[in-house]
Amino acid sequence: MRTLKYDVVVIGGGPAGLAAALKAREKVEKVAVLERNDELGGILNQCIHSGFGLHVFKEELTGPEYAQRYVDMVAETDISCYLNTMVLDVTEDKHVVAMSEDGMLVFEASSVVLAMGCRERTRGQIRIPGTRPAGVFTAGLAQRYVNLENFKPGSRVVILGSGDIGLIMARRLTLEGIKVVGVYELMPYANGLYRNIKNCLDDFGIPLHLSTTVTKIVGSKRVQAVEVSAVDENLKPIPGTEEIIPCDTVLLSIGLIPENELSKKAGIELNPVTNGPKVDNALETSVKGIFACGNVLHVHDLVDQVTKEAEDAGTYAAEYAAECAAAQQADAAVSTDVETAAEACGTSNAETEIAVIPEGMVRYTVPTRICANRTPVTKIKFRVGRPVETAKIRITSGDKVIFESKKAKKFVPSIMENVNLTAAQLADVQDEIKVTLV
Amino acid sequence: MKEVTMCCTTCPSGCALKVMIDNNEVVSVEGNNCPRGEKFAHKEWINPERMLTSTVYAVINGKELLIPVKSKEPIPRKIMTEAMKEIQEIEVNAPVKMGDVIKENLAGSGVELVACKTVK
Repeated sequence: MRTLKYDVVVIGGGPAGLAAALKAREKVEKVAVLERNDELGGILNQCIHSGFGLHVFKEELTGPEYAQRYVDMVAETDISCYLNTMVLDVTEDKHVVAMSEDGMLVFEASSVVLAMGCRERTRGQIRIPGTRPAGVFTAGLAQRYVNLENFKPGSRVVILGSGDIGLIMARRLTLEGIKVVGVYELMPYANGLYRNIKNCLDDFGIPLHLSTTVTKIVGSKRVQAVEVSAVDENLKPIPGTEEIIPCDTVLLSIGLIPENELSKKAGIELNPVTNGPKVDNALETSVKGIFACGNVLHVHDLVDQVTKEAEDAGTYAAEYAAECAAAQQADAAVSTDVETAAEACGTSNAETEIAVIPEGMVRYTVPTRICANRTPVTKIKFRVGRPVETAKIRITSGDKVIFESKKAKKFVPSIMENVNLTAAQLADVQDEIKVTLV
Repeated sequence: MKEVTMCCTTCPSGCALKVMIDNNEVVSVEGNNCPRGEKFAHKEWINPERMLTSTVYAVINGKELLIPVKSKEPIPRKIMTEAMKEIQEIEVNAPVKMGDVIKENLAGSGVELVACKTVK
């Protein structure tokens, strides 16, 4: 196997990977991006709708345009991009094993950035009863068929779940002359952004049925109909409310799961709530020198947030790699013991770690632990478990209130919240930090 | 005088707007967190406009593919169907760069249809 040495190796060439690589290259010489697809840009390539880039570029772009800008920026650097390269294994000592068109490659990295993104939940994960005919797709697969591969998924479509991809596909299919019968959502509220409900459903007269779900799929070779039922407050179908909706296609927009098979192989500890790695405020996982960002860490609402998080991960990964190089150099002056050098890197991070705990309506936080001095600003991101009409964010440690928002506001699970804590706010904090709504 | 509620779709914040209408004209807008909300309410009341994005069929260097396209500016919602018909007729046969004009005057709107991706 061919061995290649890099300061920073980024796994995934989507928006997270490209932003991380660009930032890392500002601090270290050798950066590589490993992408399994035949082009960079990740899922943005099939997200042809607009609404991206309002924060990062201060203008509204389509997915492919947002991707193209990063692809063009990367092309102007000497970052090595390996396309058609599938990473098979990541080890704790930061060896990345990948299959490429030139055979197996081993990348020896000082630090690794995980930027593999996420995948869609499927029918199997929500156990819809009925037959198993053709015509049941995840919304993102249908998006790929329509926007990249020029296939028509069906003629009469029912969408289960009101996630953003499902809403976007309702509009896209309608514009292409495909009938969208309706969108059915289990919860009593919509999961997608309000503007998508407005622009993708209301504009086209597509009904959104809340507290309703698909209870059966009917059809032998191809989907012929679905049975939908209203659900009670415990989300259980109410007998007697069943209705048969004729259709030939069912799209599922029922959530995303961070893709962490590689993280598990590397022995990285995952957060069971987000299904992403547990990280500190420098986005470092439980394995030293392996960082995570973007949808592999936790599912974001906007690509702009992914870019910003990935820039941080790229910066910290490069700093780690630079520290390793410096430690190795210093060590080489006395001896050639590489292991001691490796042990030396990251020693500045060996300070006390403080746990960050979500409480009450707060479902999870990223990070799950912090080292106050590691970053100039500690960025806490979280989501609520269900809508909260009006509340304030309160962050405490022991009896001390570190932060409380000035104005009360509404919280919904579909919107990620951010609080930035300064070093001054975290000075003298010893006990675990609790994030809650009051 | 009547009150209409709207959701501003200029950005993902989605401000809930309370719009007062008198004599079929917008007289006041409340609930917007930025000036774009007011502009949105006026347009939304008279002639709602939306960005249109789609794909065009292309054969470039012998390879069949779809190129993502968008209306360079928002176009009136009522001409969407006509614009889609025009887009479905297009075939591109030369390399394109992001921003290249694929079609001028989309469905008589005066707005250009532009490529969203570079394909060499």
